[in-house]
Amino acid sequence: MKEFFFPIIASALAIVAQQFITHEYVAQAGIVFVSFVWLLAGISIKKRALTKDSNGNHLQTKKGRKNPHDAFTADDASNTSQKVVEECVAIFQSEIVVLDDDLQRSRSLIHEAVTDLQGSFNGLTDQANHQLSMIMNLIDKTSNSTEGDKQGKEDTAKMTFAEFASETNTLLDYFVEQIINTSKDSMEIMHGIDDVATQMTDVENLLDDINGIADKTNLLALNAAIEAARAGEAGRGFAVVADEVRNLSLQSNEFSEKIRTLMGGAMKNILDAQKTIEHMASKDMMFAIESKQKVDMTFQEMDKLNEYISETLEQVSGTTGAIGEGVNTAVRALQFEDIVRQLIEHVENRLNCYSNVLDKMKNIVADANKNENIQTKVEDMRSELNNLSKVQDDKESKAVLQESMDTGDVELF
Amino acid sequence: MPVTSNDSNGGNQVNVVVSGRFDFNDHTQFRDAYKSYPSSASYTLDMSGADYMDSSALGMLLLLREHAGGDSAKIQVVGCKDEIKKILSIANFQKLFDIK
Repeated sequence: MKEFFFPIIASALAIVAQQFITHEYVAQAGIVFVSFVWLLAGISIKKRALTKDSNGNHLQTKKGRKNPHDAFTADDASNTSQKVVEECVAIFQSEIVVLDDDLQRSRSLIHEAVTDLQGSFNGLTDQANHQLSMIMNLIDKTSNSTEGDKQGKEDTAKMTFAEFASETNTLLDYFVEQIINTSKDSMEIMHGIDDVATQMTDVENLLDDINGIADKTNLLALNAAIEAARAGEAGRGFAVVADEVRNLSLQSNEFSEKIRTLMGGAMKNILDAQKTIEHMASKDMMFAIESKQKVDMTFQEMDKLNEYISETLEQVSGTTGAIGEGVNTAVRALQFEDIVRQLIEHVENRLNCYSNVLDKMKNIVADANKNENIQTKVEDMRSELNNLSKVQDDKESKAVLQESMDTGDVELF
Repeated sequence: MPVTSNDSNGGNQVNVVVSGRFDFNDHTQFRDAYKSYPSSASYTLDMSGADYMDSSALGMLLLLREHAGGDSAKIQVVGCKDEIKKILSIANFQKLFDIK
């Protein structure tokens, strides 16, 4: 029963070691090693049994020379160990299937996640580029308004802030000019009206003169009437004439009064017109001064605003560039999927090798039990073990090549 | 009397002095101050006593300029306070008058 000593010790060591080993591949290699030790134990027992049956052939050992009672017990042990080995193989193979399945799921999950990430990063780049082009348009529109005038006379309806302020200023100047011209014309009319008023005063003075003449004529007519009465019958005709002259002088006075009344009305109308003209001519110029100051201030504010907008837009465009760079870095970092995929493939290959080794191991044990020559099977298994070490070497060389994702300016996907 | 005038150099140099508010009510006096002098005379308008003028006063200045020969007029405006200067400036009168 000493054949079981090493496998049991090895298994115990392996179980203890599993607690400390975090690297999955090393753990699996350990499992394979323990299995192999169990297998060798099984083969050893089987060989000893054969040696006993065929009366000491080429495989004689110290243990082989034991008595028949021992051989019988060894045969039983061989069967038991074969079963144990077969059970181990079955458990490991099912474990390998589970691991393989997990690896495939990991691979597809990573692939999906990376595809989504890649899509969203590409979308981000597109959006950033779109934003950048809009900002560039804005910069063009705010800073190159004069250029815009040159190239696009068809869209004269569009007006920049600066043009608007300039137009406002021109309009204000025009408005002020109109007011002053109106005032000037009004004052000219006022001068004319002043002259008319002076002339009307002259006319009134003349009316006074006419009244004086009429009064004198009246007095003369009165004297004539007195003289006619003194003349008696001979002066009767002259008295009639004197009476008519007196009437005429009275009528003349009435006309003068009528003219004076009309002139008074005219003077009143002139005064009314003066009021209207005064209203028209007298405009407070403070409004224009205030408006002009506001327009000037607007100009200055506009300049500041334009400057601020340009600066901010430049900053924003810089930020957009940085976003693009960040996205590029992120996309480049997504290469890890490629590396992880290769690593997973290696693990799968190795699991496949383990599975093959386990198959061979199962065959060897089964053949050993059937009393057949197991030499070729053992060699098959050796070659599988060689494959395993080859896969290991292959993986190590590739891992060295792809140790870092930062190296190289690779445009993947 | 907000508007007064005197002459020197045989009537060739006319000084018109305006004080207080220079507005519509001064139109007769202002016109009387210069209308008897010829257009060839040099005119000086002393505004140092004036502290306000409205658009009718600006119109009166333009009429004085026409009386003095339009573009060939020789008119100096002197002693303007800041407020008066602002008003003259907004009317662009610095192009039409010699403002000191």
